[in-house]
Parts: sequence; structure tokens; C-alpha cells
Amino acid sequence: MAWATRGNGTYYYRNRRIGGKVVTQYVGSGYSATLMQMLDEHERQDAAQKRQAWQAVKDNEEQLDAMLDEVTALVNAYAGAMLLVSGYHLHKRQWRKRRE
Amino acid sequence: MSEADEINRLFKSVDKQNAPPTDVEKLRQFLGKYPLLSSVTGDLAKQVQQEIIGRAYSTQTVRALSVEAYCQHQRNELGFETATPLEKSLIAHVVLCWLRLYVTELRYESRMEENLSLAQGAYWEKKLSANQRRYLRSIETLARIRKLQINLQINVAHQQIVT
Repeated sequence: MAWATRGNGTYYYRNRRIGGKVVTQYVGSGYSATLMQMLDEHERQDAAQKRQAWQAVKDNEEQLDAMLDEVTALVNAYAGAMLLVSGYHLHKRQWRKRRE
Repeated sequence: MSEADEINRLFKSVDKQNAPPTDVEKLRQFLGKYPLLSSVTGDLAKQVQQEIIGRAYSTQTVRALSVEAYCQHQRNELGFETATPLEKSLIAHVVLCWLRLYVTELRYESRMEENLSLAQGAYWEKKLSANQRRYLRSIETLARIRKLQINLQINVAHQQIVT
């Protein structure tokens, strides 16, 4: 989004990506264009805030999952170790008693 | 290599098909040396539980306490008090997985009231499915261990330890 000077006037343009191409769209000049620019700026800040909040939610979820993964790995390894030392072995993802 | 690193290495080594017999024997010795290993996994599970509750109910002390009490109730229902040390670890893990699933469901529900984008909806669905799978697997592991009745008896200085 930008102001551009053409001849003697200053005009406000919006740049939007449509179908993979950047399209420049004329908005206007003067007070109405200034107002539109302020609204666009507000919209942009709002979107950035929402993106940040969503990223924080995702980070929190990933951290909790990573902690739980650690416990899961430890507990599974412990259970697997106990099965192995108790005479079982893993056969095609199934625990079987080893033949004497 | 420190002892903790060695235990980690052994855990990884025996946690697969055709584990080397020497590593199995070493691990047997470690388990005998540290019969309270289950309490370490139990403590870790408890820490993660506190973290999940703390983050989910940071401003709702009453709800946090009631969820914590419910976790304890579930542990008791699963026979925590009379379980073997290995089963205790697994019970703590089952309860932890349930808590994670429960909190994820609550968060997803509360987010659904807002305007979720398609990508955000897909993210929550994926999280929910992963946590459901993890919870089911934890129950399966506990059931399997109970069915096989795994008890390891070790004699340390003429004292029998069942772990």
C-alpha cells in the first residue's frame, strides 16, 4: 500500500495479490484516501496481532506435546525394558514370551 | 559417558526388535541397582501434569484444583495404590494422556466459538486425533502389562525387591 505522485497530485494505491500476481488498485486522493490508508493500517495491525496470538497458541501446544512425548518415550522404554528382561521379545510389534 | 546417558542409551537399545542380549543384561543390572526408577518416571509425569493444569487454568484456581483432584481419583480408580512400580508409571502416564486430551478438547471447543479459519480448524482436529491416539495407546500398554503380569524380582543384599 503506498502513496504515489503522478503529475501534481498524490494518490493512494493498494497492492493486492490476486491469483499469484500483484495487482495495484487505485483508491483515491485527499482526505478520503488518507482515511482509507488509516483503515488499511488498522486492518494490517489487527491481522498481525491475530497471527501473533495464533502462533503463541501453537507454540504452547507444541511445548506441552514435547513434554508429554518425553514422558511417553521414557515410560514406553521402561515398559519395554521390563518386558525384555522378563523374557519377552518383540515380534512384529507384539510382545511374545521367549521359548525356553 | 555418565550413568544417566548410559541408561538412556540402554533404553533406546532395548526398545526395539532383536535387542542385543548384552544390553538387556546391562539394563537388568541397572533396574536392579535402581528399583525406584518408576518413581522417576512418575515424578516426571506429575511435573508435566502440573504444567498442563497450570497453563490451562492459570487464572482459575478452583478449576485447577478440581481437575487435579479428578486426576488423583482416576489414578486410584486404576488401582495406583496396589499396583507394581511399573504399573504405577503406566497409570500415571494414562492419566497424563487423558488430561492432555481433555485440555485439548476444551481449548478446541472454546476456539470454535471464535471464527476459526480452515487451517486453524485442521490444526485442532489433527491435535485432537493425535492426543486421542496417544491416550488409547497408553491404555493398551497398561492393559498389556497387566495381562502379562510383569514383575521383576531382584535380590539386592538378601532383600527381595519386586519392581
